Amino acid sequence: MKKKFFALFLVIVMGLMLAACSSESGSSEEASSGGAANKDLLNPANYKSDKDKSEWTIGVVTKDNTAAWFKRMEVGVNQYGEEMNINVIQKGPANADAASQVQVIEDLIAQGVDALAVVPIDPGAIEASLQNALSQGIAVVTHEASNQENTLFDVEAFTSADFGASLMDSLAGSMGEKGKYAMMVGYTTSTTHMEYAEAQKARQEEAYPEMELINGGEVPSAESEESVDGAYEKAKELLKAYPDLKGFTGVASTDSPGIANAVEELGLSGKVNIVGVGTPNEFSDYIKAGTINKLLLWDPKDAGYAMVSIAAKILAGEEIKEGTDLGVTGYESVQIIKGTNKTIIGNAPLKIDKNNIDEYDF
Amino acid sequence: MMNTLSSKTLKKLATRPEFYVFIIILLLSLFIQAKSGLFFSNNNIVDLLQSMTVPLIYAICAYLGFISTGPDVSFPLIAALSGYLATQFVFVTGFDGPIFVVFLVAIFFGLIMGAINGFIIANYNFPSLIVTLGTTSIFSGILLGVFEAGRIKLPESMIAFGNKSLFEVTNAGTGLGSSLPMTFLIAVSLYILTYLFLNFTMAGRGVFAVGGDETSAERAGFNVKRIRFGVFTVNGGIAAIAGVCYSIESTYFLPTEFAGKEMIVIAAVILGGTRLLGGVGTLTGCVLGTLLLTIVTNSLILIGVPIYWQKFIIGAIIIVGTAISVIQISDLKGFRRNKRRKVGVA
Repeated sequence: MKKKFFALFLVIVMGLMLAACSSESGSSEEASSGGAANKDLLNPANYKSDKDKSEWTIGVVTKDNTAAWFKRMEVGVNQYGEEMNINVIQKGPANADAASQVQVIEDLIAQGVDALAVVPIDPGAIEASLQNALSQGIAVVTHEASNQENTLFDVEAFTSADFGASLMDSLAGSMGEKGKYAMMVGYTTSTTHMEYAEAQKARQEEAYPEMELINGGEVPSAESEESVDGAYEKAKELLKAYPDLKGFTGVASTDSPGIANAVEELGLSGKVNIVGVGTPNEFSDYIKAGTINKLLLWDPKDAGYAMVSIAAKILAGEEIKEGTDLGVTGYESVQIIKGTNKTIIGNAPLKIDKNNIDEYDF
Repeated sequence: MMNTLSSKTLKKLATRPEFYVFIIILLLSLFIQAKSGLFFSNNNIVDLLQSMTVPLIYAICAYLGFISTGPDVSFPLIAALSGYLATQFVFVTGFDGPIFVVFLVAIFFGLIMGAINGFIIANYNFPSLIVTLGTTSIFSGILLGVFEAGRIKLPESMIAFGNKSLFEVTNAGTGLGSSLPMTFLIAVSLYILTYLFLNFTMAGRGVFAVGGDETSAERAGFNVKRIRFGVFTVNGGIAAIAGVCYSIESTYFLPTEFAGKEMIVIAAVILGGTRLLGGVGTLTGCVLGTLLLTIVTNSLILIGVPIYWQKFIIGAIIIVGTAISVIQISDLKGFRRNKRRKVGVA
């Protein structure tokens, strides 16, 4: 008897769980069905504002306003607001999840903002909200969401090819433009990682003939599987197998700390140069100790500035095209990816080393 | 006399899977040495021992699971969650005392999680694979969903312990150094303790008995439920130790790097001769299996295997290695049986 009740109890619990799940998936389905965007909605020219500039309000929605990355973005957003005398507000969800972000977007729409600049947590989950914003005449721009449908423009800091070339330039600079180097990626199946890696090799072949990629030029030299420990093990092996290795790049944020740990342990500090991708706070110890020579990324301050700048241009009725100047370093002459007509690309790699790391706190 | 004795021991050895794993290890290391000239160097050996540390500890969990009941796949996530809680304990309390307290905190949480596994498996007689898969998913949800754990740089006191080494070596030829962390000592002590427990305590013998034949074990007076509950609870504690060791070694707490590690560990344990269906297996086998897979994964770059082929080779070695020992042993045993039968007829 007791067992039967227990079984019944389990069935009920299971049913409730399923119900909870299905209601959630229902709402997300609704969201994604809003994906089919109307052509008219996506014409930036329709969003010219009749109000005076000083009456505009541009709302910026981040993934998590408490994160150092987005605090840094807020600096750029506020800077633009002050320079141009435009109202800007930056808001983030209480929890870094897609549902909370939808809530923030809806709140800003209700407040009657003129433009929204969003860094989506999950582009698919906010399609419906963004479509709602557009249909109410609110201009929408995004960042880090090249697959977002309901947006007028998505702004990115650089193309993979440019970023890869910058990584190589930094490495070549540290290595004195000659010697053997190795490159690590997170996963060989990651499109961006492989694009970065291929671009590095292409840049080296074009500009630094005295440098040589190990292993007969195979791209990449190793795969860290997005694991610090994996990066460490693989780096150690490569350093043993190629005692004359002078340089290392790692494109996943797990790679360079792993490589640096390996270099330190093998007693090769100073002999092997490392250029990695990651944020300054995370790697400041390594940069200051000199084990990681350079860190490449993009500056959220400038990306924030660029986003708001685009939104303001749309409200002003200015056309955004190839070569438009967004008024901030790296975005002085933007490219527009052909075919999409809405992916705006700057050339804004941020290079951080011992000398300037203290200027960045994110 | 001397001769027959050694050939007898050899024959006896040849019926054990550990023997074949040992031979494969020997051949493989000679091959790597011949190809790269780097295998038998002091720093490479120390590197291998260092990489083996955490998989070795995990192997005990997988091993105890197999010999008593069946697969336990929850140890990586128990390691992750209890490692996280122990790290948070240090952050929240600002604890700066001896490191073993941090381990105790982790073990405490690990035991609780293990007890959940043990309770469900022993009490309701559910298959351990399903139960541990389920709890793995739950622990992962708690870690990444409830606690929203991200990559955390460990507190100074824990890093300091990680930087302490048992000894350091420097390769005279290449000038490359390597050091063996204290965590290796933890792994060795766990093996000694497990060995003593399994071989010299009644409960330890019970673990084999329960795994070999549940009904017989029960009739022989072992409390099957209690033993299974005990094994999975202890597994949780051991996994927690592995979790802290892993974090200490990489100086970060890395929430996403634990999941998926169970597969290669289980492969190593099976390779070392532990039987999937329970009751049979040795700790020596665990060590050799882990050693073999560590050598393979850590030497493919040394001998210049292209990156896309590395996984292929690891998989091939797991299958071939297991197959060789299984085929050889069944041949040898079959041979002996046939002979005996013939004698019987005569």
